[in-house]
Amino acid sequence: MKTAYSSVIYTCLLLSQGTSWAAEFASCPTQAFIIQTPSSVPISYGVELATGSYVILSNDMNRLKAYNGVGFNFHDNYIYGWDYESSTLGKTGDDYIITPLNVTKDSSAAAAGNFFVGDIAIDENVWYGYKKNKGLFKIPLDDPNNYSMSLVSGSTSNATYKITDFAFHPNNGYIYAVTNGATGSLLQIDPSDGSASNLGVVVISSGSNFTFGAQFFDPDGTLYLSNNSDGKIYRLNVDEANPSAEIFAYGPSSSSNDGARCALAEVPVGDNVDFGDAPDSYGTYMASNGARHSIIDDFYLGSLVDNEANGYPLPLSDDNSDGIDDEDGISFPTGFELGESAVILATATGSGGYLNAWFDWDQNGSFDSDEQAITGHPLSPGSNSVSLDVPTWGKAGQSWARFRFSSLADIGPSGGVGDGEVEDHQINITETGVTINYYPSSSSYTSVAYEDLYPDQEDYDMNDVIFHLRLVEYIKNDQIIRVEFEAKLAAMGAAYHNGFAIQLPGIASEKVKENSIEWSIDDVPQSGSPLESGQTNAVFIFTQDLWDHISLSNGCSFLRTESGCGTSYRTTWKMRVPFETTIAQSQMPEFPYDPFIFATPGTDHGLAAKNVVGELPGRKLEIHLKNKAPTDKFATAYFGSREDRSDPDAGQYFLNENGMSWAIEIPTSWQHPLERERLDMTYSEFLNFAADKSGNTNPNWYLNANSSLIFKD
Amino acid sequence: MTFPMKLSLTKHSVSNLLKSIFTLQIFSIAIIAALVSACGGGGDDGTEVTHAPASTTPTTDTTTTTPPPESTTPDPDPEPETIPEPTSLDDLIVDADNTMQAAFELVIAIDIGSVKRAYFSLCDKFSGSNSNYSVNFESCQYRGPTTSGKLNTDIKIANHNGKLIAVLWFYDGTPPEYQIWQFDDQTQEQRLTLN
Repeated sequence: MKTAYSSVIYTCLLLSQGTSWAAEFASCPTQAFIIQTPSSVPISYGVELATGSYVILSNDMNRLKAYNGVGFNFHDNYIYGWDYESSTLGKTGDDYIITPLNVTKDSSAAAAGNFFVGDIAIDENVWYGYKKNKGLFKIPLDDPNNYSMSLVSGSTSNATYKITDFAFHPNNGYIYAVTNGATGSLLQIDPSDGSASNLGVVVISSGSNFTFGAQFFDPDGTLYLSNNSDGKIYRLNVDEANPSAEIFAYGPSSSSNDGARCALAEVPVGDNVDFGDAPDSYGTYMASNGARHSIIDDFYLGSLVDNEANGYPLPLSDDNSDGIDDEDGISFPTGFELGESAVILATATGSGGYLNAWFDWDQNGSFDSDEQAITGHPLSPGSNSVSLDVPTWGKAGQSWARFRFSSLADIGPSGGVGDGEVEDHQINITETGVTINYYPSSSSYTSVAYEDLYPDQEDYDMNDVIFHLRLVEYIKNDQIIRVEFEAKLAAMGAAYHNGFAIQLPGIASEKVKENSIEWSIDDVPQSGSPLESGQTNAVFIFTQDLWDHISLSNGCSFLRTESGCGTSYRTTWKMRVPFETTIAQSQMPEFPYDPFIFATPGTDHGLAAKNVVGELPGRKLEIHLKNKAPTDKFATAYFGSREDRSDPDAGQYFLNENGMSWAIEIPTSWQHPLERERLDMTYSEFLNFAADKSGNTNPNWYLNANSSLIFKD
Repeated sequence: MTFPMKLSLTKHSVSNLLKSIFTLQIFSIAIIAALVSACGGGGDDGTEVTHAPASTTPTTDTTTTTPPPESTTPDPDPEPETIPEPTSLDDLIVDADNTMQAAFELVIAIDIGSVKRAYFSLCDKFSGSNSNYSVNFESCQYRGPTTSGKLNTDIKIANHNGKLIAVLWFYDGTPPEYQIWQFDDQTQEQRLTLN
C-alpha cells in the first residue's frame, strides 16, 4: 500500500538524516483540524464538525509564528502547512509539532512570501498554495529529499480572487473556496492554471463580514466553512445547482483561522450527543441539521441529559421508551395567553450557560426568527425564572417550543453546539383569560370499559372495549368555548364489531362550530366531520368500526386481553371542538360526558340484540355508562328487553335488575382483567364500593388488583 | 330422634305435636329464620373489606346468631338497616341511582385580595416541603388566570387524587404561593380556599 511504503521510505531517509519523525495520524481521521493563531503562536484544535465541539490538541506546535494554508494529506496521513517562522512548508504528525521542510523555490515562489491559503490534492500527492496577484504554487511531496516549489504555469494572471482558504473536492479534481465580505461567493478553481469560475452567492451575512479562514470537505461533496469572528461553521453542497449555505454548528472562533481535514472521512455524529424531540419540520433529525449538543459533564438543563445517535421526534423519542425523560429542565408555571406575559422556569446544572428559546406561536411547524422569545439569557445554576411575552398574532392550540442551553450565547434553533442541552416541549397556547379544566388531569387518562353482549350480560370481564380518555374544557367568562378529546383504544376483547362515539347530553348539535372541528387519528388529520347528523344533541363519531383500527399478532384473537397478546401501541384519536355558541358552565354535562359504543351497521351483534329490533341493529344498539341516556338513534325497544331494566322516567338506563351496568368508568389508565377474568375476582374491593351508594367505601378500589388476573403487555 | 317422655299427659301430647312440626317443618322454619336474619341484620355494617370473595355460590345463612325478627307490627316501608356484604357480582345489589363513578366534586374559591394578575394551577404531582415546592405543571387538573384577583369554580377529581397542590404564580416577581389540599372525609363538601 502506497501510504505504508511512503512511511517506511520517510522513516529510513529521516533516520539516515539524523531526524526522527512523529508518527502519522490515524488513517483519515473524522475530525477537522483547525489551526488558530489567536495571539501569535499557533494552537491546533480538533473539531467534531457535527456539533462544533472542540478540544485543544496542542497549544505548543514548536513554532512562534502562524501555521497557515494547512491541508491534511491522506496519501501519508500527515498535515502540511505554511510555516511563517521559516517561510517554508511545514509537516506535522500526531504530536502536533511543526517541522519545517527544506524546500527549493523557483523565482516566482521565492518572491511570493508567506501563504495562508493551501491544501493537499486528492488525486496527487501535492501541496498547493495560493496568493492573490502572485498565483497558484505547488510542492510535490513524494520525494522527501527533493521538495521543490514552483508556480503553476499561467496562474499569475488568474490570481485575482481574494480568499482566506480553499479545499480540494473529494473526487472531482477541482478546488473550491468561498470568498469573504458581506456576502460569500462560491468559486470553483482549476488546479491546472488557477482560474476560477464564480458559481454565485451562497451566504449573506446578517451581521459583520465573513472571513472564512478554514474550509474543508466531507466525502459527499459538502463544503464546510468556519467563520473567524464567531466560529460558526456553515455547510453547503457544491454539487447542487444553486448551492446555499446554512449554519451547521458552532465551533471555536478566532481572528486567525485555518483548517485541515481528510476530505474522505465521514462527518460522524458520535454517541455523546443530545438531540431534540419536536417534529422534524422544526429541525430535529441529523439529516435536517437538527438541534444537537455534545454532552459535557455537569453542564445541562435540569438534572438529567441523555444521548441519542439521532433525533427521534415524539412518539419515538427515547423519553418514552428508555424510561429516562430528560426533558426535566424547563417547566411552565403560567399559561401562554395571547397578548399576555408568561413565565418559564429553567433549571441549569453548571454555570456560565445561556438560554435561547423559540416558540412556534403561529403553529406553522417551524421556529421563525420572530419566534425567538428568549435570547442569550444567562442562567445561574439552579432554578431561574424567565419572563417572556406571548404575541397577539399567535394561534390558540397545541404547539412546540425549543429551549437550548449552551456556553455560547448566540445560537439558532438548529445546528450543532459543542456543549449544553436541547429540550423540546409541547405548549398549550390559549386566548387571554381562558381557564383550562382537565379530566382526569393534563397527564393522565380515565378509562371507559364496556361489555358488549347487551341486552344480555355474561362474563363481566369488562374488556370488550376499553378506551383511555382525556377531556379538556376551555372556559372564558364562565362559558365553555371549546372542548378537546383524546381517546386511546386500550383493549378490545370483543368479537362483535363496535363503533365508538361521545355524546354531549343537553348540548344541541347546532351549538358546535362544525366546520372548525379539527381531528386526527394517529396524528393523521381527518377531513370528514365527526359530528353525527340527525341528532338533537352533539354526538361525535370516532369510528364506525374499531376493528378497522387494530392489527393483531399471530395467535391472538383480541387486542390486549389475552396473555401474551400485548403491544405498547395505542390507536389515538384527538378532537378539537369549538362552539359556535358558547355553553354556560352550568349547562355543560359532567365529566366524562357520555362516551358510548354502538353496533357497527350491517354487522351481527348477537341473536338477542337482533330479535329485539327484528334486524341487524347497527346504530339502533348503543351501550352507555349507567344512567346516561342513549342518543336519538337508539331503539327504545331495548328498554326492558332481556336483562335491561332501564327506566327513562327515573333517569335510569343501561342497568340490570341488580343495578349493575354494561359499562363503567375508572378514572385512571385502568389495569383491566385478562380475558374471561371477572371484575369481582380481579378487583375484590369493587363489590363493597358498588354496594355503598355514598361511594365512600373502597374509593380507590380500582388501584388494588389481584395482580395475577390483570392483563400485562 | 325421640323426645324424652316427660311429666304430664298434656306435655306428652304437646311434645308429640312439636315433634311432628319439627320433623316435617324444620326445613321451612330454617328458611324463614334465614330470611329473617337477612332482613334483620347480620351483625356487621358492610364497611369491612372482604378479601377474595368465596368461590362458593351464596348460601342461605343458617347460623342462629341473628336477633329475632322485629316486625311484630308490619313495617309499611321495610327499609333494611344494613345490607350484608356481597360476595360476588351475582349477589351484588347496586342502588339504581348509583353510577359507581369513582370521583368527587371540589369547590375552588380563590381571592388574592388585589387585582394584579396571577395564574392558578391545581396539580397532583409535586415534591418538596415548607413552601419550597417543585411542581410538575404537566400533571394538573385546573389551570388559569385570576380575574380581578378571583377565581371560582367546581371541578371533578378522581378519587385517588386526594392530595393536590394549589399554586398561585405572579407576573411581577412576587414569589409564588403554594397550598397543599387534602380530601377531608369528615365534610360533606370538598372545598379549596385560597386568599
